[in-house]
Amino acid sequence: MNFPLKRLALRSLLNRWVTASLTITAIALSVGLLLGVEKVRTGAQDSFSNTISGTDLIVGARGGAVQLLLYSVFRIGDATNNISWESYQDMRAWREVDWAVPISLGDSHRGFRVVGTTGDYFKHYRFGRRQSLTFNAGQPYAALFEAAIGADVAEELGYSVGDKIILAHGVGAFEFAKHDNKPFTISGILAKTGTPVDRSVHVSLEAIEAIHIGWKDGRPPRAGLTVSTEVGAIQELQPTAVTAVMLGLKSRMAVFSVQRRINTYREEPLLAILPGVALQQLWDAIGGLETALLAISILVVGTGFLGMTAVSLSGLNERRREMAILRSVGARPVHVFLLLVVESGVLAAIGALIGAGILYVALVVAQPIIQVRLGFSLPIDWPSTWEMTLLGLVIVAGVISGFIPALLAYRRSLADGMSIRV
Amino acid sequence: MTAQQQALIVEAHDLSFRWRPRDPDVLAIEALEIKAGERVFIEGPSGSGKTTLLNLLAGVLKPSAGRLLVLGQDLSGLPVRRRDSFRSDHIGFVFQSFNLMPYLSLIENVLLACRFSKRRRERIAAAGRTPEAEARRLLAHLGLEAKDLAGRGVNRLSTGQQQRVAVARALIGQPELIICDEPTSALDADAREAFLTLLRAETEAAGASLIFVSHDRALAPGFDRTIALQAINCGGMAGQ
Repeated sequence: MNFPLKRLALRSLLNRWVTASLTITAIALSVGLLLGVEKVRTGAQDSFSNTISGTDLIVGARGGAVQLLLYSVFRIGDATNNISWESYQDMRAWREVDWAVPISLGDSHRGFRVVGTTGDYFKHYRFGRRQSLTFNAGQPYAALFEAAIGADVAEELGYSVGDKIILAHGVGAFEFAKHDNKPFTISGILAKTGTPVDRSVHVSLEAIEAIHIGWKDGRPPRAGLTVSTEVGAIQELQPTAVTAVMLGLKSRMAVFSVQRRINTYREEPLLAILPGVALQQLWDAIGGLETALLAISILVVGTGFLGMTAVSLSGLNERRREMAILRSVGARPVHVFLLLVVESGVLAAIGALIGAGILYVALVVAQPIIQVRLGFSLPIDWPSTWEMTLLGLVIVAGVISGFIPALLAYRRSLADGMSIRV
Repeated sequence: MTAQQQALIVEAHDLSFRWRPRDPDVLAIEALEIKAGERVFIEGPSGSGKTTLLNLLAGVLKPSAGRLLVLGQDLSGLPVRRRDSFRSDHIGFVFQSFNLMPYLSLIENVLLACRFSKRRRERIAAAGRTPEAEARRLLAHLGLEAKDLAGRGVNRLSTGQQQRVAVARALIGQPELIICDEPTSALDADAREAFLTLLRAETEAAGASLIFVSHDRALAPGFDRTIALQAINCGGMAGQ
């Protein structure tokens, strides 16, 4: 059948361009929203899954995997036990281990966690797409009582390089015991990462030791005892334990064997987790909101199509004559049906394309803002297979919503024949 | 007269139609014959079964009983699909008014008839023309210079011009039968007379039969024969 239904549908739509463009706008906006939500959703999940990247294993005292992840990466909750300094040194010396960064937790500053670590932390810590930590101002700590703070800490407390801060013992909201005899100087402010690093205060392991000199069983030392703040004193500040260790391996192939070796470590009960796997598990457990967002945006798209169907149905009466003319020149009822279905399909397709366009424009505008504010990057790529699938589904949904007016027109054209009833 | 012209273009015997089996007949015609080449005026006020008769002739409706042959073809024996293509191949329609698709150009409106009919396209091709050239030729013949009007939306044409475009669409590809349903009711007296003259001349030139349905008895002169639908329709509201 040499009948360009598509052309006829296009011309017919063009003739009703005001309603058609309004319908397309509604569909485009809803599709833009759907794709945007989807983009942010996958971006957020991606960013979450890559809160820490480049680290092959995280080691802590034996306990729950999620708990270890929470305190070592998210700095939520506490470790039940520590890792001895000897175990850390041992692991560091293993053949497969490329680097080992210890972290020591337990102190805080005005609600932000203090992380005692080594200079390697700034060298090896990776987030997102293997991005390194960078400094907005200053540099890593060099002296004993210096601290490098995360972007959120600086922003919320209004700190700048050179300011002096006092750490508190413990992590409660109220600071009972302060290490106020040993103020720290801010040596640097890290750039925003969108990870818990933003909310951390980084000091050296030795500094953690230093502020706790004379402390016993979590109680501050008696008055009068002070510690020299000279860098030269570092040698004597050998920690006896750390909270967790981040491991980087020479080859990823060795991950499982090293993990097994740690989990069966004789000297001390330890636990090693693969951060990516644990993060994914955690996301699956808490990621209900994103599904709700997706559901809402799907509903919005559905509303767009309901609008289209309503417009199409209400226009049907005015188009009875059109249908009768088509019938008189030999169009079959199925042509009338197809004409309306094709119309809906064209509207949906144009709407979907414009919606995708809206997404890209929005991405170009919002990407830098999101990067700075939320710390995760939304890549501007060609649509992914999943996004293409979504667009395809939108067009299919549009075609299907065209079935309702099309069926009505079909039945009418069967009944009316060529008589024009107005 | 050739054999084809002597053949019957419409032949109905004991034809009846009702919407549902228990309903009364809307249309019941004992006998109706229209010869090929004939120009017939069917006179019928509204409610006389006019629309039903046209839909039966067009193959949109199927007779409830009796025989109806159009061009010797028993339409009731054909599947719906074949009836639709039969209509597009052999019958051209001109309606009361607003015959044109508002969003198609003049030429496209005329060509619409070819889009559904392979036979019409073949006949145009056999005459050595393209459908487009044929549409222009017909329009020019009907006093519409396509090049002047092509750019204009069909809604800017006068009613008389629109009806002439409709005639061109009915005639393109030389269908055997032209059916007009009150095509002049929206025209003023002068335009009506001019239109009728044109219509008769064009159908004759095309060698087509013409069935012209109207309630207006004044239009009857100039046709070969007048049939009063009320007189032959024994069913429906005709007698009321």
